[in-house]
This record gives sequence, C-alpha cells and structure tokens, in this order.
Amino acid sequence: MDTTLRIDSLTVDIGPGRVIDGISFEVAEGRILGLVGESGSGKTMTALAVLGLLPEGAVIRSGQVLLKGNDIVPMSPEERRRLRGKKAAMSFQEPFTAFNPVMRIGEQVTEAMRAHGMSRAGAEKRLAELSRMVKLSPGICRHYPHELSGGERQRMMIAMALSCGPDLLILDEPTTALDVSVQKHILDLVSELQRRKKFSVLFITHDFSVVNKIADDVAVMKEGRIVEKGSKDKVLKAPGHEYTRKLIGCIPRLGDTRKRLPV
Amino acid sequence: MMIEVTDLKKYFYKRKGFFSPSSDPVKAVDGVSFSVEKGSTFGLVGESGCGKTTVARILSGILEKDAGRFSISGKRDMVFQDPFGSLNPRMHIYGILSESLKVSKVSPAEARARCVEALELVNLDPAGVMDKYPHQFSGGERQRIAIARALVNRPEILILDEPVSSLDVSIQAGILNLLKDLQEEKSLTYLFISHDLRVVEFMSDTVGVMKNGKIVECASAKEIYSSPKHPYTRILLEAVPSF
Ligand SMILES: Nc1ncnc2c1ncn2[C@@H]1O[C@H](COP(=O)(O)OP(=O)(O)OP(=O)(O)O)[C@@H](O)[C@H]1O
Ligand SMILES: Nc1ncnc2c1ncn2[C@@H]1O[C@H](COP(=O)(O)OP(=O)(O)OP(=O)(O)O)[C@@H](O)[C@H]1O
Ligand SMILES: [Mg+2]
Ligand SMILES: [Mg+2]
Repeated sequence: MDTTLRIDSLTVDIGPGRVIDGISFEVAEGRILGLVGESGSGKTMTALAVLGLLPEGAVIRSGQVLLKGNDIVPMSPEERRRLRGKKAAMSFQEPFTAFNPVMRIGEQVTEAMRAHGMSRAGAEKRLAELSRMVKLSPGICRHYPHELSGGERQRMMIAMALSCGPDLLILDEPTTALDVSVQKHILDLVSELQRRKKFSVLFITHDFSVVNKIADDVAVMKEGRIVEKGSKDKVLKAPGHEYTRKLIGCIPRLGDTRKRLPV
Repeated sequence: MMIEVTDLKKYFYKRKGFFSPSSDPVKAVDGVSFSVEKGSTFGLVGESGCGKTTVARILSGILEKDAGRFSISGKRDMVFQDPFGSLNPRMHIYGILSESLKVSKVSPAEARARCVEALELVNLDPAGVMDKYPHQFSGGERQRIAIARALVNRPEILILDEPVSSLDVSIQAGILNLLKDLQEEKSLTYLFISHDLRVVEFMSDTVGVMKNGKIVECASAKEIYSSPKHPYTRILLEAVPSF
C-alpha cells in the first residue's frame, strides 16, 4: 500500500522552544489516523508543517515530510502553496480566525475552488452541495463569518477543506462546537466520503469517543513527541504508555457520580 | 436568583440580495426563560446554531436583546466560545489579564499576583506566558488564558461558552474540578454552555435543552439524564458516543 503522508524524524523549533521533537508516523492510503495528546504538545504544528504553513519564526531543524513520496521540506513557498487544496487540505482548529472577516463565507469557499481551476458556476453548484452535506442551509453562504454560530463556522471550514477533493484531509479539532447529533452526522460523512473516494485523513481531536468512532490508527502526543502509536484497538483498549492510560482515566462518563475527576 | 431571564428574544435579519428587502428573520433566541440560583450551575445544551451563544452574549451585555427581560445580580464575566477572537492580538497576556483590574483600582503588585495565581490555576506557567502574545499559543492554551482572564476579575457570575472544548481530557478534568472548587469556596454562579453532555452532567445542577431558539426542556440534571421528557432531549442523549 502507498503512503499518503510519511513524517520522518521531524524536529521543529520556534525561537528557543522545541515544539516538535523528532516525530515519525505515517498515514497510509485510505486510512484515518487519529492524533490525540496533551494541549500544547505540537499537534497543530505537525499539521501546519505538512501544509507548509508553519508560523513565522518556526524552523524545521531536521526530518522529512513526504506527501505521496515528495518531501515538502526543501520546497519553495510557491511549490508548497500549489500542493494545498488538492494534495492536502486542512480544516483549522479556530475557524473564526481562519476565515477572512470581511468576505462572505461562501465566497471564500468558492474562491478556493476557483483557484484550482473550477468555473464560477461549477464552484457555486459545488458550494451548495457541500453546504447541504455538512447540514447547513445554502442561504448561510451569504453571511459573513461573524454571523455564523461556532458550529456553523466549523462545518463551513470542513466543507472548504473537502471542496477540492484532497488526497490528504487534515481535520484539526473539527467537532469542538458540534452537538452530538450533528457531530455524528459529520463523522459519518467523513467516513463515507473517505471510503468512497479513498483519501487519507489526519484527524486531530482530544475526544476519545470521536477517535474510537472514526480512526483506524491512533497516535498519542506529549511534549513534542509521539509517545504511543498503533491500531485503534491496541491503543484504546490496551494502551502501552502510562500517559495514554492516564488520559483514558480522565474521561467523564454519563452517569458519573464522582464529585471530582481524576486529572 | 442570580440570573433571571424572561421571554428573551433576539432576531437576526437575513441577508438577501443587494436590494431585495430582508424578509423572514433568523429567530436566534425566541422566547427563552430560565433562572439560576446563587452558587449553582445552569447547563445549556442544544443543537448547533440553536441560540446558546446569542443568549450568553446578551447576558454578558455585548449584544442588545430585541424583547424580554433579564437581570443579573452580581459581577459577571464571560469566557467566549472563540478564545482567539476574544483576546486582543496586540496585547501581551499580562496586559490582557490585568486590563479589567485597572478599572477596579487594584494596585500593580496585587494585579500581578492575581494574574500569576489565575495562570497557575489553569495549569500554565506564568513566567513563560505573561510576556507573549495570543498568537504564540496553542488552541487549548489560549482557551485556558481566556479562563484565567475571567478569573482574575473575581466575578460572582461566570458565563462559560464551551470553555473546555479544546482541552485534552486531563487538563479538562483539572479545569472542571477547579470550577467546582471555586464554586464551593466562593458560591459562584455559572451559566455553562457545552456540546459535551458528559461534561454538562458532571457540572450542572439544572439543565436547559435548546432547539431553534427555544428551551424545549428544563429540569434538574438528574431528571434530564435519567428520564428525559422531550423527544429532542432523548435524541441528544442517545447520540452520546460511548467510550
Ligand atoms: N507562534 C508561536 N510562537 C511560539 N510558540 C508557539 C507558537 N504557536 C504555538 N507555539 C507553541 O508550540 C507548542 C505546540 O503548539 P500546538 O499548537 O501545535 O499545540 P497543540 O498540540 O495543537 O495543542 P492544543 O490541543 O492546545 O491545540 C505549544 O507549546 C505552543 O505554546
Ligand atoms: N450576527 C448575526 N447575523 C445573522 N445571523 C446570526 C448572527 N449571529 C448568529 N446568527 C444566527 O443565529 C443562530 C444562533 O446562533 P448562536 O451562535 O447563538 O448558536 P449556538 O447555539 O451558540 O451554536 P453553536 O453550538 O454552533 O455555537 C444561528 O443560526 C446563527 O447563524
Ligand atoms: Mg491545536
Ligand atoms: Mg455557540
């Protein structure tokens, strides 16, 4: 099987701080990798490294980021830009800041499609289709980002990431503003599209029930490192690392009668 | 009652074409009533887009209501759903945290001590945080900064809109415990909005379930979770994923 994404010993520094510390993992073709871990452990930075969108001041010290075999580390910004959308697309953790505040939200999605050569009419038709897929009424596309609820923006962000049919879909905390039934719809949608179109997914979340539902494989990050990775069943049912076990112990459950949660 | 809301309404007028008149509004909040006792937590759950944030923004005084009444009997503060959008990008964290203290005439030494304390409470290292700017943090770190900012002000009422949605479960548990401890010590009152029904059950005394701008069911957390009456509440509870 081909590997859609392979990260090999990647190390990234920002100023004096090491934010990614020699991580290696891969997302095979047609598989979904769930990436969980500590807040601030480098999950978003890993995703941004794949897209060539690391923040100013970030330096890749060593390692490779192979998208379908091509290392993006030595590429120019222009070469990386061309990969975004079609080779890899991302739904950002904070949609509010990822969208342009003074442009209607639908136009931002069609603009992305048109940048990849789609006609205006084609892009508009696809936008209506995408918004229905994420359970939004197409009318909402005429709104500005601040006129949407948190979960509506989040779904528009997911629609935008899907719009150009990427080989690798990166979803960074895509369900933090979705009620359980819309969340279920979105997870079913991603699984269904993924099976049909055979793309690969890097799914970043802190929610273990989401990982349990959607992922094939799971990696756990802490302090810039991957402390554990393996098949979902292995990592969730028989976690090998102490930190993974600790996390699983902290999950609140329905009908929990504990006065305080373990931390 | 610390929070009393009666028949609150907020309509947004839809954007049509350039010149066509705007017609049927989005009834974001359409006759919401509830009250929250001192020292208790009211959990607000519901469909994405049903009006939860709109209620929260009206109660925190940043959005005008269209109709209805509400009263808030005490100093309030809010943690917003989008932490990045709510933190001034041009101010360093110390500036953001201490801003509200300037108006309440707290001495600089006291202000600094309060900021350090608040950051420690949310599991951030004050020395590594205070001089940095919001964009230099991860999503979950910014969410904790937003919580610290609200705590610094020592409010009696906290409006929390998805306050733990980007935190790993261990840090989330720490923040939830912290909120409960503060509530016990200082008799704080919370309006707690979350899409995570497990978290809401853990936190709340009373729960309101919203759909399309209305509260469709409101009862003690025990009742909502053990014998939900409204079909929508049942749908939500059945959709709670296991694990
Ligand atoms: N622009 C920046 N400058 C300096 N440090 C940064 C910057 N952005 C992020 N960091 C730091 O890099 C580390 C990794 O951040 P990252 O956003 O990847 O975390 P994360 O795993 O996605 O966390 P979360 O779950 O909270 O979103 C954090 O410690 C963060 O403070
Ligand atoms: N400024 C605005 N102009 C027009 N419509 C708006 C505006 N603000 C909110 N809305 C609409 O009002 C409804 C309620 O939004 P609100 O943000 O209160 O929802 P919410 O319950 O917080 O949802 P979520 O769980 O997704 O955050 C949504 O349908 C939204 O599109
Ligand atoms: Mg992140
Ligand atoms: Mg909201």
